[in-house]
Amino acid sequence: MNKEIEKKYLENIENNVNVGKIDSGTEFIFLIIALFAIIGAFCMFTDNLISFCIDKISNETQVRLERAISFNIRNLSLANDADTGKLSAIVQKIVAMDPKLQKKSNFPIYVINNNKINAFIAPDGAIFVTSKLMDTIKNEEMLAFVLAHELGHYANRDHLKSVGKEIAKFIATVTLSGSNTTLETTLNGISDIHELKHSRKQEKKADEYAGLAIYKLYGSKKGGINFFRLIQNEVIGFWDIETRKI
Amino acid sequence: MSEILLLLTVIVITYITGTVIEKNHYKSIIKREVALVKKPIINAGAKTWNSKKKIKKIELVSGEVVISGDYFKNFAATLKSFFGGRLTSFESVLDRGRREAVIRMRESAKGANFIINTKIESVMINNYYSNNSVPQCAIIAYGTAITYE
Repeated sequence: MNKEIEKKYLENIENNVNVGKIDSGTEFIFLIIALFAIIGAFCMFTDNLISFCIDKISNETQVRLERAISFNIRNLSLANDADTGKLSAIVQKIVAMDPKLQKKSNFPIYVINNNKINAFIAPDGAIFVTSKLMDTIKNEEMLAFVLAHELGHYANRDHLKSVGKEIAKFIATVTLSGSNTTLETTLNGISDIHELKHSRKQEKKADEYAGLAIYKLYGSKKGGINFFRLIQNEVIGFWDIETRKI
Repeated sequence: MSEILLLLTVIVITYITGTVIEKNHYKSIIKREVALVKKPIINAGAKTWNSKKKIKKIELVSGEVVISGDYFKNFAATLKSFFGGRLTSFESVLDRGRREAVIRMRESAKGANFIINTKIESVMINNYYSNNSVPQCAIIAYGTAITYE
C-alpha cells in the first residue's frame, strides 16, 4: 500500500469531519438557556397583558366570568357540622371595608375535612378552610388574617388572572410542541418555574392586603405575625409546600 | 414540577451513560480501523475491475449494524429541531453506525485485496410515527470482494 495513502487514511481516522466539534452537553445547555429565555419573555408578556386586561374588566363581567368557571364543590368532603358563624362575621367585616369585594359574592364559607392547615377561595367567592385549620387556630385575629389573605386574592382578581394565564400557556404549549410530548413536558416545566415567581408575587400582595385589613380591624398586625409563627412551627415537608395554598 | 425533575434526572443519567458508551465505541472503531489500514481497500465507485492479475475469488461481503441514539440525544435533537440547524447529537450516532458497518464488511472480507462497488444503505427500524420512540437505525454496507491468486 502506498505510504502516502496510508498516512492520509490514518489522518482521516483521527480527524473526523462528519461529527460536529461542539460537545452535545454544551449545546444542550445553550439550547435550554435559549428556551428558558424565550419562555420567560413569553410568560412576562402574557402575565402583563392578562393582568392589564383583567384589571380593566367591569364588575359585572367579573361576576359573569366567575359564574362560568365557578368551582364544583360536590367533590370535596365537607364537614357539615362545622360552625362557620364566627368566620362569616369576620368576612363580612372585611367586605364592608373594601368596595372591591362588595356586590359580587356572598362569600359563603365551607369547612373541608383535611388534616393540613390550609384555606383557599373559589372563583365564585366561596371560601374553603380545612378542619385542621379550624381546630388549630382559635384566635380571631389569626383567623381574620387567613380570611383576609383569601379575600385579597379575590380583590386582586388573581383567580381570573390564573385562568387566563393557564389558557395562554395551554395554547402556547400545544402550538409550539405540536404533538411532541417530550417538548410539551419541557415547555410546561420551564413555564411552571416562571410561574412560581409570579405566584410568590401574588401571595405577597395577598399578605399585604391581609396585613392592612387586620390592622384596620384590630389596630395591629399581630394576627398575621402569630399565624406565620404557627405555620413555621408546623412540619411542612417539601411536597407539602407545592400543594400549600395559603 | 416533579415531571421536570424526573425528566432532568433521566437526561443526566442518559447523558453520562451515552457519553461513556460512545467514547468506548469510538475507541474500538479507531483501533479496528487502524488495524485494517492495509487490509482490503474499498473502492466505492468501480463498477468494473480491470487488472492483469488473475482473480482467485469474487464474493459478496456485507456488514450490518443497528444503532440507536440515547434518550439524551433524542431530547437534545428535539430541542434543536425547535430552533433548527444541524442535529449534532445524531451526527455521531450516524458516523459510528456507518463506520462500524464498513469495518464489519471489511472484517468479513478475509484475505481479499479489494472490495469494489461498495454501497452503504440505512433504514429506520423503529416506529418513527411514534413521538416517544428513540430513533433506531440499521446501516448496511456491502460490496464485492476480490481476491487475487
